[in-house]
Amino acid sequence: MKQLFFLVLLLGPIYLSGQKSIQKASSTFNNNLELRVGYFGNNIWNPGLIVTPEYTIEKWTKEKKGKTKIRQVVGNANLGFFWNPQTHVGTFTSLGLAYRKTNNKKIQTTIGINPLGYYRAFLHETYEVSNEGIVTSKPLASRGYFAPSIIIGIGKKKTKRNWFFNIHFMLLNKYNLGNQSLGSIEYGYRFGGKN
Amino acid sequence: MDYKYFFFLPLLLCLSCQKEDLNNLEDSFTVRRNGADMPAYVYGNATNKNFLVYLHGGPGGTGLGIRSGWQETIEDQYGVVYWDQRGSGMSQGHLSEDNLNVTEIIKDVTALVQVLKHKYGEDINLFLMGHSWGGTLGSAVLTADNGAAQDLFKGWIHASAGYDWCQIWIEEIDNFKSIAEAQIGQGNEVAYWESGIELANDIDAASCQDFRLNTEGYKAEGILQNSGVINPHDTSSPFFQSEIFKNNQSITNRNLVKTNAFFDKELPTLDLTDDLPMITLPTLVLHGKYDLAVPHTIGVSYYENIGSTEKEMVSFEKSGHQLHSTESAAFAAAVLAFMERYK
Repeated sequence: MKQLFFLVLLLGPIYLSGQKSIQKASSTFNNNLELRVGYFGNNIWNPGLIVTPEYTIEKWTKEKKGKTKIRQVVGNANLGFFWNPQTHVGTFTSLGLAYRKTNNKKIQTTIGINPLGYYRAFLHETYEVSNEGIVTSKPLASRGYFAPSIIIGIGKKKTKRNWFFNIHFMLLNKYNLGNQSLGSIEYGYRFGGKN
Repeated sequence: MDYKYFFFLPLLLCLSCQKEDLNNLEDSFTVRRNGADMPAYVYGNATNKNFLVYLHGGPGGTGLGIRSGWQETIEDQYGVVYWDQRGSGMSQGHLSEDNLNVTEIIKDVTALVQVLKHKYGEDINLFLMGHSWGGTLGSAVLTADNGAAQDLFKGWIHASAGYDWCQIWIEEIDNFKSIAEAQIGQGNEVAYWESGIELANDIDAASCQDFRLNTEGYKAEGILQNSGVINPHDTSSPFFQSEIFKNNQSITNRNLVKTNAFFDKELPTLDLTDDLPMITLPTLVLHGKYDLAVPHTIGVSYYENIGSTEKEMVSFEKSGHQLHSTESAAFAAAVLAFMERYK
């Protein structure tokens, strides 16, 4: 019994300090993680939604003459869709990095590249016609493309949430005879994080 | 039970938001065939099961691009099908020489008809109309397989189109010079027309690859509009009904450029002159007198050489290539009268 008591006394602090490390790591992760949610307007007026978790990989803060400037490298992975009422619903996802500058007035500018991306268009009511002339209905007919993208944007950092406005270009690979760019706008808010 | 459809239910709802009231159709669907997904948009009144199927120009144009005001008259009484050919408009897919050629597009037209019959009934009546490249395509459809496709249609409307691709570039030279000399004689934009004549004299028409005069023709028609020789374009269609709003312009413009250039290789070999007598369907030929893209003389030659005994030609005195836009009321009246006669 006495041996057990001394063993608990010896191992206890080691165990407790381990718990503190896990909590500290979790806290750091949460501080660096933000969620960007916004309206996604393909061709401006084809409405949709985009959700993008962002994680600050690296951050530099410069203070000079009482002015604070922040630089960040942010990893992001997005998921979104838009609706073209005439022809299809476009869905997409991509993964990449962004560089963000925040000036003394908390105005933010962002440029990002997502080299790994995929786009899939779900077509409206579709009928496939075979070489023999047989017509078959194809619900949820779709066609996919490799689709890297870039964003350029502005925003403002506020206490609880940050607003942003991005211009988004996606390049659909092997679309008809070549590659096809899709231009869109995103605007919305970024939540969470303490950075 | 396949539960995946529950997951996709919101998507299905978005994809099925169309108006299928036959009296006031506002419908769209996609025809999938041999590597291409080609949207078709159907507007108008199809209660009597009569449809006008429109083949757009280009190649590489858009089905909705012709909606400029005239269609309201037609759509009051008929369903009109505006279809994007493969590699054109909002069509998408994976295309190459194997599946982007005139033969494939001819098969696509037949496939479109089969889908229309599947969707709206085997008892529908169809008229076919083609403008510019669409007119050439329509003639190719009607003469393929010894004219088998003519059984699918009640009548054929051939607007501002040719039938021998190289002949267009040859006749364009004399046509341009003739119009230019008349304008110079009237004292209209003399400097422009004199430089135009110089360009026409420099064209290598025999190559069938020198498109400079064809490109200049669109600018020249603008000059004729400024001089009051051609009417201004009809801009009565509201913006939210226009092709500019309904289509993604970056997609449609890129398709136009790529597909149009792609067909530069094949089209110089397209000559339907010997096949024209095979066209026996009731036919309406429409052509602008000041058409600087496809000369009026080619429309006359087409009319004279088709085999139809029931045929009519209407020349538009205040129009160039876009006659549906510069004399939209007269265009609609001619099309409507023709369809009423043969439906």
